[in-house]
Amino acid sequence: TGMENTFERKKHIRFFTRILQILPSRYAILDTSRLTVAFFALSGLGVLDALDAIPDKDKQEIIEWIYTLQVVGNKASDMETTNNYDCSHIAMTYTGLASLLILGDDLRRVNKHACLEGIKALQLPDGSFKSSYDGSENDMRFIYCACCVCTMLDDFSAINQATATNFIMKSLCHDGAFGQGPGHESHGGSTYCACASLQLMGRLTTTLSPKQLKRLEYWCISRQRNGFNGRPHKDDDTCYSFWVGASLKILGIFDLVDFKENENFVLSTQDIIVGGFAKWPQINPGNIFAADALHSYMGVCGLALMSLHSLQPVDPTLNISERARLHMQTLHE
Amino acid sequence: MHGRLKVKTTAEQAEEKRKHREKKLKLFQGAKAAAFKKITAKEYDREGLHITQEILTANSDYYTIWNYRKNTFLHYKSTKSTEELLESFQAELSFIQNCLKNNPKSYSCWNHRCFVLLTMPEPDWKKELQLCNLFLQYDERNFHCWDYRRFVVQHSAVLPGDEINFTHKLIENNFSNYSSWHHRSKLLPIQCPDLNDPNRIGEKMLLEELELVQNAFFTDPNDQSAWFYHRWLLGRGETKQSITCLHVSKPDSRLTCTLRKRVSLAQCSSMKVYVNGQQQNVTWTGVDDQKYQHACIASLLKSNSLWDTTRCQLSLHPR
Repeated sequence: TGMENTFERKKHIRFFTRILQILPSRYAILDTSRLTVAFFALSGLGVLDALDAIPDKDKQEIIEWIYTLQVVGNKASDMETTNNYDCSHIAMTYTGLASLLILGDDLRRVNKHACLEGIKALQLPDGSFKSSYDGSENDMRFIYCACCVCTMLDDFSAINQATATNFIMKSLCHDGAFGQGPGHESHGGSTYCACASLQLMGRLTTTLSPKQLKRLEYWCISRQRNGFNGRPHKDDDTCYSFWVGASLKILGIFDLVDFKENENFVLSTQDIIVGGFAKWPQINPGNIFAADALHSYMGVCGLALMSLHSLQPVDPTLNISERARLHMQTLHE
Repeated sequence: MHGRLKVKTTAEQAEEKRKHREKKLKLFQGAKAAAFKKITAKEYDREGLHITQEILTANSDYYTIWNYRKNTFLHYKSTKSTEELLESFQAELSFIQNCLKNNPKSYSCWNHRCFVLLTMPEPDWKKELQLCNLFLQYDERNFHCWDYRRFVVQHSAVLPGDEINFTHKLIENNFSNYSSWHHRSKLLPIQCPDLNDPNRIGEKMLLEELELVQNAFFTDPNDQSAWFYHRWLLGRGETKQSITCLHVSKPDSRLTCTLRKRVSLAQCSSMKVYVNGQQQNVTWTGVDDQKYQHACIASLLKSNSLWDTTRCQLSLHPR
């Protein structure tokens, strides 16, 4: 329509703070991943530079809640399980630690040894990771989570980087990008996980040849039509403005992105009444698709990568604000 | 998270909805408590299967609950007869299929189905292929389904040739079928590998593929699948490293080496120089400050008496 969308900053802040207060039943399907939803809200507020929208008392409550989710001991170790949860989930460990960092916690109450032992127990002989000890699928997402956890705890000794790298390379496809695993179709999400994991392990340019890097760059930049899609011939989806955008940042060619088209697309997916972002554009004011936590967070980060709307810079590898990453670094000193 | 529709409601409808949600929540929490009781007590029985079935019908991504069912079936495997087992597993497959109808992109559901196929007596792989066909009809880009299909092909007697024909059919129906081209890219090297690179297709099939893909982009030049595939067919695999030129400058005591593939200086340092069998202590440098170099230079000791001879044997051992 040619109408310029405005960035509804205040509404997005309210959207995220509301999530932290109550998760509507629509999220019942995510009951097992409440921590990831909390992460989207917390990190979203961080990138919006609006963490002060959460009262300090609430911040402390959230920190306490996260620590209650810490599982000390799993079937691989001899330690006793200290709470009702049977075993941990690698994505919760990643988002839990990230959330603590975002809230300024010093991670002192994290049982670093147990945490890393838990991660170690999830790595399979082929180098990939499953998500929980009791069993799950294993793929690129969980390698990424493992690398993030090791980075945040400043300790890579628990994972076998060689086999993980091997798994990643085996997941390279004919079109130059990465699938979830060997044989799987290349995809924006798994490509991000592969690039970020290699970068976090310090192996991106030593593992991929110049030719492979070029092919990868070409595939990634080809994802942009207006916004970005996750695979050729799929519709643009807000979240790929981050998954692919961040990959391009890591590859060093983000400047090739058409900022205006990307911004216009992401803003068109805003829910201007409720706040937040949906995966697809709001076709009419009545709203066709509801905003959700993940796409809202990714939408904000997608814009932040372009340094727009006074958003805080985002670290493309850990997927947290630069500020949170700097806080993490002070803890490592 | 996958595009749920919003529906406008009046205040009355909203209140009704709230009451309904409260009730649902209570039931869900009750079932969850009952299930965790079973999990903690390690009680693997029909009651547990019934409770967990209720939960999974509401939330088929609940991996902890799927794991309870997994443990139950493993328990059954050691306690039930083959007939009973088969019946239970087949009921499970029906249940999973129902969950998939509502949630075709659920990692947990597909993963659990893999478990069932690997654990049950007499798995019917043909039927699983048909299931894949069905789900691909709903959405031919559903990569969960494609991945499951590859799992089925891997574990059953399906020949790569048959699968290749399957992709051919899909492609002929609709050239814009990226997932089919991808599937093809994984199967053809199995059937007809390039002897130099197992991830590439042998010469013989390459020409046939080229014709197929050219038909594709002549039919629809805007289809990316064909162009990416074409690029892959034409591209050579990774070239083998070799020295294209070695220049020895006696007056300068210098070696200049150009390579077929660019190397980093770190990789370069692994090249050892021998003059008449004696290893020389050299440092390689690049020609500019680029990270990857095609050429590198090493200085040899000027005092090397070997320079005085008219013949000397120089060998290089690149990695």
